[in-house]
Amino acid sequence: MVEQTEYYQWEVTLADGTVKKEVAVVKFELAWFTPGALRKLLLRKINNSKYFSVDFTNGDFDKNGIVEAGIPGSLGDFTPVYLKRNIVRVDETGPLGNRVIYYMGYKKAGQQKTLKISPAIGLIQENIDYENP
Amino acid sequence: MVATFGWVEYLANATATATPTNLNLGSTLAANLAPSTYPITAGTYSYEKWFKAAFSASFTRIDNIQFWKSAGAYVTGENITWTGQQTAFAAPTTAASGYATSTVATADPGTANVSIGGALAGSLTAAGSSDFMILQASVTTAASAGAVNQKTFTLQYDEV
Repeated sequence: MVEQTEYYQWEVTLADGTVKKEVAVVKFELAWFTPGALRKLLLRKINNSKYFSVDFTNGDFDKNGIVEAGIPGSLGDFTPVYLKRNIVRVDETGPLGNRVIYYMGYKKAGQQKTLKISPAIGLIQENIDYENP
Repeated sequence: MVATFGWVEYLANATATATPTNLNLGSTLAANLAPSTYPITAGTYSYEKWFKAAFSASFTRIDNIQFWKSAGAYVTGENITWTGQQTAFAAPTTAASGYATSTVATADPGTANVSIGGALAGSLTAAGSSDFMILQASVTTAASAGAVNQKTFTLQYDEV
């Protein structure tokens, strides 16, 4: 029996257009996520058309089939976590500046690792939850 | 692939709607009312404000709607009550609300407190709205004369 290994690639486009990639493992390089540094983040399944991406310049995101639970891969059953949290505020004068926070990462084998990122702020929090996935 | 958010306010009946830019409470039934023009007399209640969060454009799912008062301290004798789980419309009133009976949260509640389709765990998978949210302010005779503090309301929702 031949064990098939599937790989994923993180690709981050910085504000200056520089593209940084990680291949073969799903991990995050926190140094990329400095305030205002992100333009786009992409997780691509190598040798496959599936991906999800988020464009921080316009809030658009795209999930091309990669959101299904339990994707088998080199890290075991890998479930992408991808969530856009919108915060709308209003006071007496009318709408105030809205905020968006993206949660992205993965769950595998009952463990969760996510990043909490705001386009305006950059990395807010890295969460590794081994107790309550 | 991005949802578009907007408020929808309900006035005298379920088809009399407005698109408000604020949620000001006062002594008249109108969207975007000026509190200085329609003040709440001490010892009375504001008109209930019935509104929904409406979502349009393209998205996969909207859920986990949370609403709270994020800024603006009460003055003595002032209170704002609310509900976020009303499914059927009733004409707004200036009597003590039979719907907006809980004090509005003053911090992120952490879990959904606005229902969709009658359930806090509900979700939207196509353009639609939350259930009704209802706000009502009350001012007792213990309040000092003059304007109360400006409040900021925050609504949070998840989009996947």
